[in-house]
Amino acid sequence: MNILRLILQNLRQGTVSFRLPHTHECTSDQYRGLIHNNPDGCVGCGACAYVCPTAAIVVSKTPTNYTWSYEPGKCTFCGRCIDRCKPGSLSMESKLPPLYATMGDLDVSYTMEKKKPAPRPAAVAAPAAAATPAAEPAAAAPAPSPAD
Amino acid sequence: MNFAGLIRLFLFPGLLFAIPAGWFFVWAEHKVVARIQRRIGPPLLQPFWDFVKLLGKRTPARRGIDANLLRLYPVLSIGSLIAALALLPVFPANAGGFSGDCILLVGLMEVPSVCYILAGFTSGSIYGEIGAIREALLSVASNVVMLISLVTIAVTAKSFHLTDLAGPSLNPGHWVGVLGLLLCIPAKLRLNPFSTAGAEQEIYAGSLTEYAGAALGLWELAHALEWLLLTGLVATLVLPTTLAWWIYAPAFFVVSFVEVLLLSAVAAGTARLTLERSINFYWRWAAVLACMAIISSAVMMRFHL
Repeated sequence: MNILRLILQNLRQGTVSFRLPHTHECTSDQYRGLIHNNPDGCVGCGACAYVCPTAAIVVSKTPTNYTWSYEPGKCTFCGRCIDRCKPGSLSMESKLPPLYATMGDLDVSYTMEKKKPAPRPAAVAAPAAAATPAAEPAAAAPAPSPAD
Repeated sequence: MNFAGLIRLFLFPGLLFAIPAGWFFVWAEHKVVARIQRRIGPPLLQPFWDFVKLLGKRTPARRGIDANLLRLYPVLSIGSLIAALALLPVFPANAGGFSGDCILLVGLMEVPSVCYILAGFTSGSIYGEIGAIREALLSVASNVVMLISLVTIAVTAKSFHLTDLAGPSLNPGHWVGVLGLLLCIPAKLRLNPFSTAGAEQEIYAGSLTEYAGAALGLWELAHALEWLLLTGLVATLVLPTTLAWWIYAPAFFVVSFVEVLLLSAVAAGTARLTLERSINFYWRWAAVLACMAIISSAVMMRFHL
């Protein structure tokens, strides 16, 4: 009677699920949670809204402003928006989203003034790299030989 | 109807007791299955909140389906189940009921099953129709055993008055009849291993596939009342009738609850049988057992053993 042994074993070992709301974190670092946007870094390019498969992110623009909106109820947490965010202003929480009772409780919306894209990290690194060889000869100036 | 009958209809084991007790039994079933599967299971009030939630939902209108007819079936089921509960001999000392009420009880117990079958055919859904056909076939098989078991108990008590049937008996036919009733309960409640009528992985919710909102909530309530009726019937057959009412009432609840635990554990520990195997079980094994019991009881009665 393997099934009886299995039932007794399961009853003895206790439960593996948790009662909501969770009393402790049970997610890993790679968990895909809510999307966060850093308004200081965001340029309102709309790439995230363009790639979002469920239209959870919407970017609407006026001549001077843009509004970035995120509706977690529609989000599938695929992470495509993060991959496409050139300024790197989007990030993902690595914990479970909080429980909510009313639709729209977790919705986020920012209205910002338009600004020029921040220079890419690679673009910043390139001039620095270009400047480095000029500095190199100075840095690589022959040190006094021990013989001197 | 006398005063005791009114109490049985509205207080115990009728409306006031039956609805919360039925929900409690449904919760216990879910909890036992969850614990055996190493899940924490639902909180105590989950069946109540499920019912409230369903009551608050709107049912989308569907073309070609008589919505009033669909709503009528669960209401009929609940009405018949409450009436059947009122017939249970829970106050045996205060002889209620009437001669032949056992036959009425059997009829009332069948109403939810008939309504379930009709609901499946009325819904116009292929899954509903398949669920209804399965329920009909399984009902025929399990009802034969249930009827023979009840008749066996009636033969041993020499009466079809439920008050005479209540309580334990020295006659082994009585206990074989009780065993036969217990074997039929999983099929009546569509529990594993006889859950083909509502096999959710195959035919969604069977007859209830097209149900939503308040009507589905009423079906859930009817299912809870079915739990109480079937386990309560067995409890009245095994509890001594000489107990005072204030001992009998809690004992009735406890015995019914123990049955719920046992049936839930069996449901969690078994896989769903195919329809053919389920019918084979009832026709080949349970029916033979029940027939042997009724023949032996008739022989014992004939020779005054």
